[in-house]
Amino acid sequence: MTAERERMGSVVGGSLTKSIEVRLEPGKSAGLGEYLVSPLPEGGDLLGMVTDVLLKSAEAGATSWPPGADDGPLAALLREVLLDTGVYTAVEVNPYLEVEADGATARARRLPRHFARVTRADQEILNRAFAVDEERGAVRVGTPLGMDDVTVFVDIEKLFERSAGVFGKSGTGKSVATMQILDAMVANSRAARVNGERTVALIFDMHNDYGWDMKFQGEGARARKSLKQRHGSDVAVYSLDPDVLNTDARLVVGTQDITPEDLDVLQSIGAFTGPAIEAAHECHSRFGRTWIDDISADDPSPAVIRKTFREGDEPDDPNWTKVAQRLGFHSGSFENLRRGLRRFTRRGFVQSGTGQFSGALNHIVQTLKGGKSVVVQFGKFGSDLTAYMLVANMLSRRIWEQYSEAVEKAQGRAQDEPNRLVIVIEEAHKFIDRSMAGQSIFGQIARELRKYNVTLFVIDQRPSQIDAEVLSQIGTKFCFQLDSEADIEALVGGMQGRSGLRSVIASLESRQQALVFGHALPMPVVVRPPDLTANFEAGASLRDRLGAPPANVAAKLKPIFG
Amino acid sequence: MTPGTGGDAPRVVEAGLRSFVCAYERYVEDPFRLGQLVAVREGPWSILGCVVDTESGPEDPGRPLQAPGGSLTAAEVFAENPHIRPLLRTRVTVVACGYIEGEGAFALLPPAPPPLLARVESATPAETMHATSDGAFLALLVASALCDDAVLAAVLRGAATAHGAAAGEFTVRAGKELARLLKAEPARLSSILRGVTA
Repeated sequence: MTAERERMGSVVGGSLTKSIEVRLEPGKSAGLGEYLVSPLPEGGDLLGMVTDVLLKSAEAGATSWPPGADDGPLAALLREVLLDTGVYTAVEVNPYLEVEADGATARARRLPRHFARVTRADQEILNRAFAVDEERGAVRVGTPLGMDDVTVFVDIEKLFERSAGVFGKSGTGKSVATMQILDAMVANSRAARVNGERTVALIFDMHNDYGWDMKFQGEGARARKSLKQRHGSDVAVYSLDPDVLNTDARLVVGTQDITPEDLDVLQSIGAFTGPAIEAAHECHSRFGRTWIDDISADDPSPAVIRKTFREGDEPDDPNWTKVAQRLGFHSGSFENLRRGLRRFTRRGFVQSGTGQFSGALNHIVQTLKGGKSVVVQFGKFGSDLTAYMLVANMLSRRIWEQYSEAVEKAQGRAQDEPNRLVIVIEEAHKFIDRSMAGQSIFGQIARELRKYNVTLFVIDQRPSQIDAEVLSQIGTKFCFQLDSEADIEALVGGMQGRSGLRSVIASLESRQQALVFGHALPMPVVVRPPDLTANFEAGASLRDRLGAPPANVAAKLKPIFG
Repeated sequence: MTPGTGGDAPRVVEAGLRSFVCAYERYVEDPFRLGQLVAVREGPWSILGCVVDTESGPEDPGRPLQAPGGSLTAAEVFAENPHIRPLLRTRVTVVACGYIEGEGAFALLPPAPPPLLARVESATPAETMHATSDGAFLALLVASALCDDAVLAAVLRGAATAHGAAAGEFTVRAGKELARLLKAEPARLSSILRGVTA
């Protein structure tokens, strides 16, 4: 028999498209992000989330002439008398989900009647609301606020059906949450019966968190095991930095592997100007694969002269200014290109010629298609945004091309299609900002949804800088604390009850508290993600966990699944 | 002796559903107090009411009382002129605030006015607690034009005394009821509660 839920108040007004107002009973309080339930007239319950807490007055007089703030008996009595009579507390509740008695759920389309009883949601109704298929993989996203005995899971397949994102200020717990999600994904893929059912990740690991171990700022040890240590045979680690330990291979980029399209994305961080990129395209077209080595030289080589000037028109003292003039470039733009490329080629992971990039690329593609996730670590180049963006863009473009070709070739035969790939990028707004989204491969991946079995998993601090169209394609969002109004608005724009969600995001604590909402969840949920303990278990399939859950997980699972 | 009983209880001399007037046989110095809860127990139900006014004067309004000179106190004047007292009357106006029928107390107007010449007595502490515990009795008092802030303060003060150790809780509960009835009208609420806490 279902236990009686805690009575909180009654419905006194509201709107289906905005929020309903619940007047709290004397002595009751509810915080942002908590769930409340109210019965619907034709049966079933409405489940909603508290998005605002209001101090209201029933009559203007009580607040126009408030009791004194002193401790005298009259003031004290007046204060007590006016509480819950002349003034009262109400909460705004965004209506999200209708939960039927048989467990069926649907988006809220009805409202409770005036004065309907409102209770605090309990474990039983949240289990019904957030139920996931026990046969499918799920990731534990945490416990809802104020409900430590309830754990919310998200279906991994649904999570990566569309692109997903983790957003928040620095130090709020984005990396830990990302690690937990990826860990569950890898564990779930390992449990898949056939390769085609696996979801793999290509992780561009800027801060070296997702390879061998992750820097940890919480209690205890300063590092936690990361994907490679936890799933050794299911994860391959590549590194651009030769000094990084515990990697499977080193990644070196040859100058002849870089095309102008790889540089397009670098415009957003000012590495190259637009005219410089146009010049790069012309140089690539004119000089071929060696174009970077050619124009990075101090002086134009005879081959460059030959390809630039008609025979007999060669200048007596050829220099780059004359080459630029001949090719119709502005000399400043051409110099911008040359300077940029020369800075580039001085980086340790770039070598003149072909390097081993093609071989590494093929190996990565085969690894991914074979069901293993790949972490590309940047080591000491992690703070070099240009390096990060170049390599992520180069690899992603080429891998996406191979995936899209494979999908087209399969012509709908599921067994011939490659398994699902999730590309994980940090500082996503640099790749897919408003000016670059149209050209960036990442903008294209987000827009194509899962057409080619490739989706994005973006990690970012400034969602407002991400192109709005791309951001709207991010299906599931994990939102940690954000300060900027623009960033918050960017995430909740277009959502039902967005003003309430804005308040919830703004009120998140600075660490380890997140609002999770979107495609993979029936309704938004404010959670405290699981602690990243040394024995952390994000989970594989629910079936596996139920079979033999670790002791620390069993206690959490039991209340949910009986 | 309980104030107002004065030995001989007053009797109802004018009766209405919302209010009634009772008179002592003669002039008394210690009639029912302002705000005191009284009961008329004659009839099928006990009617409870609140004293809202008390006045004393000559029985015949056409023969006004002449004030004697000299330096005597009132008691000395009455002692020297025993014929005066029977010519004077004390009348008390009571506003009905509920009735008790069987085991139930109702914060409603009584179904019928109290019988004329019925005895009016002080409500017992048990009756007072029974009738006032939820503060609902205040509705009839607030609605009455005869009942001003001083009366409300006095009745709350008196009822609180009947609640003994729970007087504080009663005062808050009744105060909340009053706040609802007055729609949190700050000036009146403050005025009444000031009278309660005085």
